[in-house]
Amino acid sequence: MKKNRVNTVHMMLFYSKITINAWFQYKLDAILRSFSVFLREAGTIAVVYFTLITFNDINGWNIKELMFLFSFIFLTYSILIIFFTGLRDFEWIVNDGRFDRFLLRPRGVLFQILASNSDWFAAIGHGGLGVLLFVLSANNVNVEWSALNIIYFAFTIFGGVLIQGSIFLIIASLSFFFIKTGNIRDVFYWNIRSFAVYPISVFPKIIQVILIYIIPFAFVNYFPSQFFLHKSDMIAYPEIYIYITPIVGLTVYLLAYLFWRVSLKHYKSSGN
Amino acid sequence: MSVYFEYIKIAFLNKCTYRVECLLGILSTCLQIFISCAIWKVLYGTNQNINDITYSMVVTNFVLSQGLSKAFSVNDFAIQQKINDGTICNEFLKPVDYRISILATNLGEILFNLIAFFLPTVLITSIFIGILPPSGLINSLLFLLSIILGFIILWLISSIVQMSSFWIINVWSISTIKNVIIGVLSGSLLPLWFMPESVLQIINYTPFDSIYFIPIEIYLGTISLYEIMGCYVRQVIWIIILYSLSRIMWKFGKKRLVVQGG
Amino acid sequence: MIEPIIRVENLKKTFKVSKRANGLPGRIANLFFPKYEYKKAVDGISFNILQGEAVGFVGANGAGKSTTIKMLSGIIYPDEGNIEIAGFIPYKDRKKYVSNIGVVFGQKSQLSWDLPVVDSFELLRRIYSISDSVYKQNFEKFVDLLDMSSFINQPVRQLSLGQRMRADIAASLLHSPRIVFFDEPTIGLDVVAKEKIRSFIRYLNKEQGVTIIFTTHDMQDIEQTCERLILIDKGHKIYDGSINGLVDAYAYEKKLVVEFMQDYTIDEISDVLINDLEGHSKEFVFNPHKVSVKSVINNLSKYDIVDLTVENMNIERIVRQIYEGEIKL
Repeated sequence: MKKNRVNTVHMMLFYSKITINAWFQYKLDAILRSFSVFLREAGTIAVVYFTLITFNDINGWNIKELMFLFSFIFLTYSILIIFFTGLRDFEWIVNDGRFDRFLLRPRGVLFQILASNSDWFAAIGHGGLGVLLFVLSANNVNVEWSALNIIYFAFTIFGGVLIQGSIFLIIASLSFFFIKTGNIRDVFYWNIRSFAVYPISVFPKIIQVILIYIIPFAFVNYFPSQFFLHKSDMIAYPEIYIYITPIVGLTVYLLAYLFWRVSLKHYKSSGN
Repeated sequence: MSVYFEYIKIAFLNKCTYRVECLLGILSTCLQIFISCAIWKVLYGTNQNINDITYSMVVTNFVLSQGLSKAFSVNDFAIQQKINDGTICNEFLKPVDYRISILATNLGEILFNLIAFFLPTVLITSIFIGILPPSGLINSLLFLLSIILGFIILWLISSIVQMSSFWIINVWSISTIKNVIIGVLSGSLLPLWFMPESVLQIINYTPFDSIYFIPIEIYLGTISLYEIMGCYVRQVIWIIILYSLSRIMWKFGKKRLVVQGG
Repeated sequence: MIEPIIRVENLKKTFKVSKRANGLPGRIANLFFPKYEYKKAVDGISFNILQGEAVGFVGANGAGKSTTIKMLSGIIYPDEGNIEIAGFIPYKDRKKYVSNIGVVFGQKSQLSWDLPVVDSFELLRRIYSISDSVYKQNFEKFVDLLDMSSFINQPVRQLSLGQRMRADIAASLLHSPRIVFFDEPTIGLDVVAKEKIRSFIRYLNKEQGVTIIFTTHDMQDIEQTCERLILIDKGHKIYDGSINGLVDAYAYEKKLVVEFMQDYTIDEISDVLINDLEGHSKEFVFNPHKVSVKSVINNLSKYDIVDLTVENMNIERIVRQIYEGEIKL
C-alpha cells in the first residue's frame, strides 16, 4: 500500500515533467499564452476600475476592497487549473479518445485525468494577477498577518479550489450524457463566476441564494474576504458562513464525486 | 455566386444541430447582460440620470452590444485549423475564392445566431429588464447601416488575426488579446459614456468604438444627423485601412505558405 | 480440454441515436422536437477464444466490431450478456483486468504528440509499474523487431504514419499483456509498412503465445496472421471458423475464362452464366456445388480453345459480397 502511494506521487511528478517538457517546445507561444490570460482577466478589472472613477464604490465596496475580493478568485483558479484542467477540458478528452485510453490503464480514471493535464499558462496568468491584486490591496485594507489569519487563509484557498473543482467534476460527468458541454460550462462555471467577482449583496435575492446554496461560489471569495474586511453588508448572512469554506469544499466535492461514479457507468465511447 | 450561397446555407444548417447548446447559449448571454445591468442598477441607486445618461440607456447599450457580440462570433481559428491539418492547399485548388468562402460560412452562422440567439435574448431581456425602442424610423435604418459597417470592421479584424497563423503556430493568444481589447474599448462591458476622458482620447484613434458603440448611439438618437455622417465616414475609413492591411497579409501569407510547402 | 481465455455469451448493446432530418424545415423542426431511435449495435454475440489463438474479427463499418472490442476491453458496459476474460469481468475489475491486455487503436495514438517516443514509453512504464528487467527486455526486443532505433528519440509529430503505428504497437505491449486487441492497426499504411506489422503480429502469436484479436478491413491482414475468423454483420455473428472453411463453404462461384479461336455462338449450358469478354474470350460463371468444372469443359470440347483459366473466389471477394449483402450466411 505504502509503496503504491510513493509510486503515485512519483507518477504525478513525472506527468508534470512531461507536460512542462511539451510546453517548452514552444517557448514563445507559452509566454504569449500566459500573458494573454493575464491580460484577459485584467480587462475585467480595468472595467471595474474605470467604472469606479465615476462612482467611487459599489454598495459600499471601494476599488481596493473589490480588488481584494477578486484576488481570491484568481488565486484559487490558478491552483485549481494545475490540478483540475483535465475536468475543465473533459469534453475534448472524451472526443479525441484519450478517455478510452485512460480506461485501458491500471490506474484510477480520475487520477489519470487530473494528473495528466495542467494548464500552466492559465496558472501563471491567473496566479500572477491574483498575487498582484492581493499585494496591491492587502495592505490598503489593513489585513493583519497573524499566524491564525495565515492558517485561515490557507484553508480557505484550499476550500475555494475544491468548490470550483467540484463544479468542473459535475460538468465533466455530464459529458457522459451530452456530446457538447461547452455551453453548460459557460453557464454553470463562467457565468456564475462573473457574478461572484462582485459582492453578492448587490444582486437580487434569488441570485444570492444560488451563489450560496446551489453553486456555492460565495464561499470562494465573498465570505472569506469578509473575514478580513468586516463590511456592513455581511449582516444579511449568518456569521458562521465566514468560517466554513473548507467544509463546504469537502462536502460538495464528495457529492460531485458520487455523481461522477454514477455517471461513469453511462459512458458510451462515441467512436470515431 | 450561388456557390457562396451554398456555403451560407450549409453553415446555417450545421448550427441547427445542437439544441441544448443553443438554449444554453441564450441563457448564458442573458445572464451576462443581467449581471452588467444588476451592477449598474446598484451604481445608479436612486439617481434618474448621471451625466445626462439614464439607466435605461445603459441597459439598452448592454443588451445590444453584448447580444450582438455573441451573435457576431467569428471563428478566429479557421485558417489555423486548415494549416494544421494540411487542407489549406485544397482550398486554394477549389474554384472559389477561399476568403469569400470563409465570409460566406461566417454569414451563415451569424444569420443563425441572429435568429436563434439574438432575437430571443432581446425578447427575454426586454421583458425582464426593459430596453428602449429605437428613437425613430430613420434612426433605425441608420442604425442598421452602421451596425453592418461595424460588423465588417469586426470581421476584418478577425480575418487579420486568422491570417497571423501564416506566421505563428497558434493564434489563441492573439485572439484572446483581441477579444479583451474589443470587449473593453467597444463599450460592450463599460458604456463609453462613462469611460475616463483620457481613455476616450485613445479610443478615438482606434476602430473599436465604431463596432458597437457608434451604432448604439445612433439607435438611441444621442448624436445628431451631422455627427452620424461623420461616424459613417470614420467607419468607412477604418474598413478601407483594415481591408488593405488584410489584403497585404493575405498576399504575403500565401506566398510564405507556398514557399514552405504548406 | 483447454479452458477458453475469452468467454463471451449473448452480448448486447443498444445506443440511442438522434435522428437527423435533412433540409432546412426538417432541421428546424428537429431543434424543437428531437427524434431518437434505438440502434442495436451488438445483438446477442457469443464466442469462446482459447489461449494462444489468433482471431480475425471482421465486419463492415457499423457492424458492431468496435462496440464489441470496447466491451471486451472494459471501456463500456454491456447492456446484457456475460464476458469473462482471463478470469476477470472486464467492466467490473477494470484496474486489475487491464494489466492483462494490450489495445492498439489504429486511428488513435496513445503517444504524446510533442514528446519523443521514448518519453511516452517511460510514462507507461510507471503507469503499469513495469519492473526494470521486464521493461529493459521488452524495450530492446521491440526496438529491434519493429525497427524503431532510428526514430525512438524523435517527437511523435515528426514520424511517418507507419513509424507512429509501430511505436504505438510497442507502447501497448510494454507490460507484456497475454491478450492483445488490434483495432485496424494497418489502416492507411502502404504495403511494406503493413507487412512489417503483420510479421510482428505473427511473431507475437506464434513465438510468444499471445492471444490476438485482430480487426481490419484488409483480408490479407487476416489471412497472413489468423487461422480463425469471426464475421459480424448488423450486430450478429454470422460466421465463426477457419478462413479456408469460409472459402470452401461459400465459394458459390467459380469462373472459367476461355479464349476461343474465333467468335462462336455457344450453346446454353444449364446452371452456367455465360458472359462475353473482349476479343474471342468468354467467361462461364457457375456454382461448383451444382456444376463440375469437368462438365463445363466437356460442353466446350467441340470448339477450338486457345487458352483457359479457372478463377476461384477468394476470401476478399467473399467478404466483400457479404458486406454488400450478396451472400447471405
